[in-house]
Amino acid sequence: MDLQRFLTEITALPGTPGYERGVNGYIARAFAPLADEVTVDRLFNVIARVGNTGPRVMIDAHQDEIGLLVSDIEEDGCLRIDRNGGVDPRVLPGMEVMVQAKGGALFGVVGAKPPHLLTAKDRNKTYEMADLYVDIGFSPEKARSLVRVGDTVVFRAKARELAGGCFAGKTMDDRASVAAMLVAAEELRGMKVDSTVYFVSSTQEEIGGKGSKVAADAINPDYAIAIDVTHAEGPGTGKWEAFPMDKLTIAFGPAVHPALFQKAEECAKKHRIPYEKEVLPRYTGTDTDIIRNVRDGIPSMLLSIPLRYMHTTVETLKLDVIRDTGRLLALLIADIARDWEDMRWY
Amino acid sequence: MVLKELCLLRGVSGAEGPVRDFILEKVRKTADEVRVDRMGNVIATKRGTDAEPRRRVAFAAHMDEVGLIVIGINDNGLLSYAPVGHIDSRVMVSKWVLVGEKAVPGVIGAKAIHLQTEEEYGRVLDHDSLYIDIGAKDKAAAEALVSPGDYVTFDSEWVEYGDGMVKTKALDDRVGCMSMLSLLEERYPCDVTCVFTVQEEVGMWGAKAAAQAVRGADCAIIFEGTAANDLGCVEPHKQVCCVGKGAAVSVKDVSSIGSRALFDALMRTAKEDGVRCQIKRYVSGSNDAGPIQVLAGPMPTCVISVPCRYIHSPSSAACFADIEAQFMLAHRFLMRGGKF
Repeated sequence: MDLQRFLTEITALPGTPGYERGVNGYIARAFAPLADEVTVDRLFNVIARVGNTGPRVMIDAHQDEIGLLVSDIEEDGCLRIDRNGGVDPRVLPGMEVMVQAKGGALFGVVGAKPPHLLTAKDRNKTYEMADLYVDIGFSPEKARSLVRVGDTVVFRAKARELAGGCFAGKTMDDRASVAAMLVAAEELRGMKVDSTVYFVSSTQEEIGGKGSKVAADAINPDYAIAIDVTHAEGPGTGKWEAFPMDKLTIAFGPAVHPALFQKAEECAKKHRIPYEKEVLPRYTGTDTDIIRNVRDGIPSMLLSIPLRYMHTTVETLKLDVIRDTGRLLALLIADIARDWEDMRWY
Repeated sequence: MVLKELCLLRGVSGAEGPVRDFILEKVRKTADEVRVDRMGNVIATKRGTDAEPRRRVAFAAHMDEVGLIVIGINDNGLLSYAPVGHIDSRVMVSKWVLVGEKAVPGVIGAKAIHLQTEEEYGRVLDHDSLYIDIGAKDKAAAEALVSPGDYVTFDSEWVEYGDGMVKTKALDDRVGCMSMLSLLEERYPCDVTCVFTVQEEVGMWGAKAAAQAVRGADCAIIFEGTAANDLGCVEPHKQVCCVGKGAAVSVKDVSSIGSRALFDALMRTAKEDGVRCQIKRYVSGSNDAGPIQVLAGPMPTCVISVPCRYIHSPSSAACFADIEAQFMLAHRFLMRGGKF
């Protein structure tokens, strides 16, 4: 698949938590030629089923993105904002946004008090949400007629290739993983795999994995693999909390089922797919934490794509790692399907 | 649109070449005399229609924009940079830039919110702790694409929004260049000399030399983009000027006190000819009026600015009506013979 084109198109679509309708149609269309059935549930999860025999596996990557909500419209027509997901206020000054107003999206710029009016003490402090606003360039009366409190606000940023096979843009978290699922779905078409695979592009991950919870409950899979992004080594990252950008990670720790981890590691070694082991002592901070506790417990694991500058609009990763992740997914599903009768969880 | 082309040209202080070339091509078609001085300033004169000796009104606007310069390439392939001109480092986080003449794309990121300590969350990332990431895996890979000394511009699109607004980079001071290009298309009773200066953002170095070219003029009017602080429920006296309320005429800024007679003549022109204007309400900003006032003999000056929100950031914003008003005020003043 044309990864650059896919990422450029999908990251331009609005889909803050709870409002994924702006992006889920695109995802459904992307899976349609690769799947036996594509459905969208009432929390906007896109579920693409491939195959209908053998073990039932849920693959999960979230489609939602962090963003903002309009909290007030001021006397002067600027919009006050609140966070929808883990937005770092430090990325906001000068940020371009699209306010998802009822009559159509409106361009805006995030403004703040200019520096020449701040005291020296103020200048050394980061902006707080209360200092910031969105400027949509309309008079107060017009702003009031166009925008409602509660309208969602989505970041606007370009997606573009960098040197060294890198690609940067907004919402690589986690639409790069949706891309990896599509790579896997393509791979599976050329393989004879005795498994029923549910590719779930889940919703509301950024506020706590609501989408994956209901999808896992509905599908009730035999096991699950979540795909998300993790931190790549970059400015300011410490030892062991960030990973090389040029290989995927396979998570290990209490949230990950050890039998699945072992299968994944064997599979990566066998097919010479470069990976790093990511040790997570408690939570993974991904849908894995949710899915593993659905119903009577679903054996789950996590593959991650390292990226720099997570939750900024310049999330940077390597395209090859997305391909590797998709390939490993397909091969791992095939390995587990083949060995299913002998699979011992404990 | 000429302004769009001007804003998207890359011309950080000291590397104004692309902007100068564009301006030269335009003024060679409209002005009677055009020259480039040794500093790189463009000086274009259009003769008046009055019998000699004629009055002469000079104008100045700067071609350069704030940006960055690569100061070193780190072993991990990330580029260290310094700002060229004043840039609040807080507007650099999470932005795209273009590096060097080849316009190599790069991003400026920051440590993820998930990994920050509470102390880090509240701390401003200054330019020293930010890096340009061009995707190079190490120093050698970066050196194949960029060099220390490469100038860096914001990578910011031209977006029209709201009610007659535009967001782009470098409105400060391509709006002024645009207004001077428009003046040179007209012919007035008096002579008009337009100086397109270099290096305003790093200390008005271009104007310090170009002032010689306006010696003997009756007055000098400086076109600028200036900070508007009119949103976010700011007290009126701190708003500086307001977007949409017309060109901002200065009484005083950090670098000069304007000629009251010229200021009064401009305000009178605005009132009588119905040009939308406002008085700049806060003493802030420096501009080419400072050197021109004292280096071209005693020179009466006045600054006419376009109010710009988020100035010196990738996302500066202004209103088309205000940009038009900057030109129109000078135009009407010249139609009246440039007298004050």
